[in-house]
Amino acid sequence: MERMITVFLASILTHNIALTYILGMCPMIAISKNLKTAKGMGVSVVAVITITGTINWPIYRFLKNNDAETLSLLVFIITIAATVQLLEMLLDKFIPSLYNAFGIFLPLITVNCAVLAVSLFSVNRALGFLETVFFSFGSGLGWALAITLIAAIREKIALNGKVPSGLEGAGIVMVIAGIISLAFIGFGGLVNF
Amino acid sequence: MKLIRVRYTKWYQLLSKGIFKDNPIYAMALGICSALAVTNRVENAIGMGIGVTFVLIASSGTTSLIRKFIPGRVRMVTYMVLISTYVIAFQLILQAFFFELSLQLGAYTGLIITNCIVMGRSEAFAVKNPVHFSVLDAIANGLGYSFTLIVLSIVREILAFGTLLGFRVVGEGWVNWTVMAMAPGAFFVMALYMWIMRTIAKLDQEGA
Amino acid sequence: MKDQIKMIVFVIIMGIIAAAILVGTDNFTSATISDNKEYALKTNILEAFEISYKVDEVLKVYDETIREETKGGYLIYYTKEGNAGFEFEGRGLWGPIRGFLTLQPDYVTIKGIQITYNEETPGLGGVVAERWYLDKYKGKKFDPEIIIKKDANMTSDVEVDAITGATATSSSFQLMLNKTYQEKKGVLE
Repeated sequence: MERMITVFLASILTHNIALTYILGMCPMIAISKNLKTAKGMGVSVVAVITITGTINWPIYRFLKNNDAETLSLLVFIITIAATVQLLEMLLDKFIPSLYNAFGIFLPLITVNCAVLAVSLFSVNRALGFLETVFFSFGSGLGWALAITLIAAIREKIALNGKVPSGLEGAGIVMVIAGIISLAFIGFGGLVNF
Repeated sequence: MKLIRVRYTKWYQLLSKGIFKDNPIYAMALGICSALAVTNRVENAIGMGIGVTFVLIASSGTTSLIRKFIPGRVRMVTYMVLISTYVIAFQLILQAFFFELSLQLGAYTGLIITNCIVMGRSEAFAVKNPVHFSVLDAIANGLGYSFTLIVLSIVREILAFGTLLGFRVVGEGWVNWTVMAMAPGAFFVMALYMWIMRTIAKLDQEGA
Repeated sequence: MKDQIKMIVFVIIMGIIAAAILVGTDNFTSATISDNKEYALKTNILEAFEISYKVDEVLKVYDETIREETKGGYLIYYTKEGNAGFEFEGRGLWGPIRGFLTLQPDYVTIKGIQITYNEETPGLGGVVAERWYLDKYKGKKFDPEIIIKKDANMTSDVEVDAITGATATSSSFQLMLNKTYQEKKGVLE
């Protein structure tokens, strides 16, 4: 159990998929304008990453046993697309208000590099099944944490000041992300897995 | 005569758009993940630039070729299957003929699949345009992307290691800015780059 | 109904074409890729044993100087002079660290270490793969284990300097070296 907690904490703090590995940045830029949408996106991404990370583990084992590792990328991305599609349908049916709020951003989770990366990392590091579950969940949370922080800061800046025109949009997100990731480096060495 | 001039204009427009005005990275904010992650060394940036350009050309070309047959609902899936196939092929070729580079780039070559530029160009352009223009658009965007990556990596590699493509280019007393090799460095250099390029592009537009 | 069929047919054809491209490329490259991997591994092994070789004679030199033996499930490499070596692997800060460790005929003193794979931050943890750092391990002994620490005692047989600014990588490295040595030393005789 201690190991699982270590993996979990490490994937949020010291191995944060957005702030340490710089993955999943595209939606960061587009969605961090508004704290509410950012939070919603964060939750969806946590769900998708956890589910896909978990499912892809037995799938990879199956492929490996049948000497079909080369296809793993292709299969992973199909799993992700299917999960997002499923999530879309469920949301549409049970929480239509949320579904409408997301609009086009929901299907875009499929191409969020962070989602695919989590599956790839668990393969690279030969994590066990339970480890993969905690790693996926933690990574999702880490990403959600990053986007929420960035959105919150961005909203504050919009209220209090003016961003130079060249930095508007993507530029300022980079600056904010840079400062936060600098801060997160302070966690380095805290936990390791 | 008139026809030739028009055609030149369209080709030129497409190229210059992809590289300057609508540069995927600083104008459209696409493909940022990889631009940040692999630009710690110029060697990696070049490898990634080639990879993305290759996949762009192959997938945009193929999408454009079969655009009349793709049923509406499976558009996204089609792009993904095509892109994944070409990415895997690229990875295999890299491992076979540029082994060292494949080790350096590691998992990031696989991430070309989720590179928003590739999907984006298929959806925004290739599926609506004839093959030759789609390929040109792919080349333009690939060049725009590679240009950005190389500029960023030159700055980062010199500051972080004092080398360029492995060759030492600074004097003895240089202290490495290690932060440039890590995430924060990537973010800051990218922010500066965007600031500069967008200002230049805007100035260009105002002048025109 | 017609639309559904059209969609399914399309997906199937796409799947077949994609699979064909992949299988084709795989066949075309797999031999070269396994050659590359073999070449890289053998080069690393020769480096770790400090056997000199010319770039295009790696395979030949390897065959002449290295003897492989599988004992107790482990693959051990021996040279004519009686040095032994084996692969080790562990988890670094960012990802796996893989390398090759060679021992002198007493099976306690380190002859050399070569890192074959790592994902550490270049300049920080990445130093673990650099020649000048790995040279510090030459002549150190597993007596009973290697200790990697800050400001290590140079004259001690077991202490080696940790990497500046890379505490996690250093401690992981210590763990994986000692652990693998304990596991594999039993079969060395």
